[in-house]
Amino acid sequence: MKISVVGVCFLLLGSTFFFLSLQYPFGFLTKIGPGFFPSIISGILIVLSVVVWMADKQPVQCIDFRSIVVVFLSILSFVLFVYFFNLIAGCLAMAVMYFCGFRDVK
Amino acid sequence: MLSSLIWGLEQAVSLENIIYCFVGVFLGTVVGVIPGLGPGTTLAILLPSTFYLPVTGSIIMMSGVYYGAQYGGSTTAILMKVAGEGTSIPTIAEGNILAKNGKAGLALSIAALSSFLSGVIVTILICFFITYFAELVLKFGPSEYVCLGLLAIFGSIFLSNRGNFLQTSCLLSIGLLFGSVGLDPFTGYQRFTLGILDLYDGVGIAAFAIGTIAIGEVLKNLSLKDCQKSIEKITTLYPSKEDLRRSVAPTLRGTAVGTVLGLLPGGALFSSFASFFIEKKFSKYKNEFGKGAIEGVAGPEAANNAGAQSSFIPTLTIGVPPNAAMAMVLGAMTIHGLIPGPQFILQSQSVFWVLLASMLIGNLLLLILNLPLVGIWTKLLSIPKKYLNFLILLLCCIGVYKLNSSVFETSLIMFFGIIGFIVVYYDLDVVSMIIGFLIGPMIEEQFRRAMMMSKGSLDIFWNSEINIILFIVLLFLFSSIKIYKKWV
Repeated sequence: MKISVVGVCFLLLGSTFFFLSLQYPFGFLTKIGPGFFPSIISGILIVLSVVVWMADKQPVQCIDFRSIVVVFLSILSFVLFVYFFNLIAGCLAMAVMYFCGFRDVK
Repeated sequence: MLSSLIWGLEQAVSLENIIYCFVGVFLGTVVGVIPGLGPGTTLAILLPSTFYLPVTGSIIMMSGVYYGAQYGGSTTAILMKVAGEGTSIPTIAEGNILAKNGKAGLALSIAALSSFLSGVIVTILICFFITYFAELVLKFGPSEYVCLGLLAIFGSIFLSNRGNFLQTSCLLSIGLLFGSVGLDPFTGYQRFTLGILDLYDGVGIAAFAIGTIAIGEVLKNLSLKDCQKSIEKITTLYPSKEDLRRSVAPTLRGTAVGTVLGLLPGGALFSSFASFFIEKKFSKYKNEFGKGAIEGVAGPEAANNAGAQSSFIPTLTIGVPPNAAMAMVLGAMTIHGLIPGPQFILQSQSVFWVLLASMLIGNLLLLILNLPLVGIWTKLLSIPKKYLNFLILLLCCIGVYKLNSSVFETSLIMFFGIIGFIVVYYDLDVVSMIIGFLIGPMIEEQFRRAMMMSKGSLDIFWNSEINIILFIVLLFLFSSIKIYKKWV
């Protein structure tokens, strides 16, 4: 059986939220606790994502993985340079990273 | 009401507000023309900058972007068979055939005129009915708000333009869960904050929207191959009397359909399709469909503009955004401390009436911008994607950072960018996630309040006439979608 990546991602997110929400009091209908809403929603998400997993939806877009790496590295360089230096350095670092990554793209 | 609108017009024609309106409709036209840069993405990018603008000006500008994009989308749909905006897809069918038959100018002018007419009609309708709507919403208690939230949630699932209920429901749940991050308003518990101080106030709407919508769009734009489309030549822009006569009824029908559907979640997108099929089935000239019928341009264009403007009603009076663009307008309002709801019209009268009046001016500006400058808009498509996407990326990062000067929040857009990327990669509907994120906290708060009032009894939901009407609307929505899908 093929694994639907989107189903797995939804399941991972749902499970993370579900296990975290178990730490918060669930409460009763008369006095609903902070864990009530998130645990129900994440429970629904887990069930739905299992169904999505089974449905095995395949990607429809053909995405160039270099674009993803370059975009994320550009944002990362912006964040790091802003943190250690300033905003202008962040913008410059982002531009350098982006245009180096796409130098052969017209 | 009329005096309030006139007062609003007086304020809206001030130089400052006209500039904001012009910037908004100009940007809207630009993003409507360029495929892959919809109003939702643009408004997400603009959202942090609104913090530095006056409240009225920023909302006028954001609204201008939204309805301006509806105009801009029709230009590329007619001339190049490219849908800059999802709502322009139905216009391609007849508009491009007309252009190929040497009637590009006619199709463009009818599209602009029908959009203008429907925009003016809907603005006047909003002016007369919004106070009644607000009075009705004043009767809403916690249980009614919960049902309304559920209507918005199920509505966005049913009307999802990707048509996949399961995955849309998953995205809605993810939006709801991210909306619950932060301090619990009732008990003060830290939920999902992982001990990070920046998350105590919850995930910022700007980081969430920019990450999921804008970064996802950038990745999609960079991965799609450029294709050179031929541009049809524009002949005379003046329609004949016969063309104008034939366009009146479809414009009015389109306006009616758009006004009603714009109130529903996802309805604005759905409205242009609905209008197109209504014209195709019931128009006096239905035999001309497929050969270039002007009704197939006038109806959908009127419907999408009417839908865009009537979607302001649920956003302003209830605080339930029917689409991503309205969600961003709502975000801008909350950044400025304005709380949308029935009290909004009473407490923020100055903002409301000026916004409404600015829509009239905005529609007029769009008419002037769209027809004579049509050649310039088509040239925008020749800008290399590489530079355009860099600009978007840079604006996103600067915007999120400058909002709170928070590096953590800026890095959050990478995390949400991954989610946005998965959503784009699998061609899912990101709008439902934003709707879930925005209305989740409202539903939770009102549900807990309703349960406290009813001492834990769920009967509170059945004992209200408004709730029963809302359930009937939900059933109607569900069945009409089924009928529509069969019909199409």
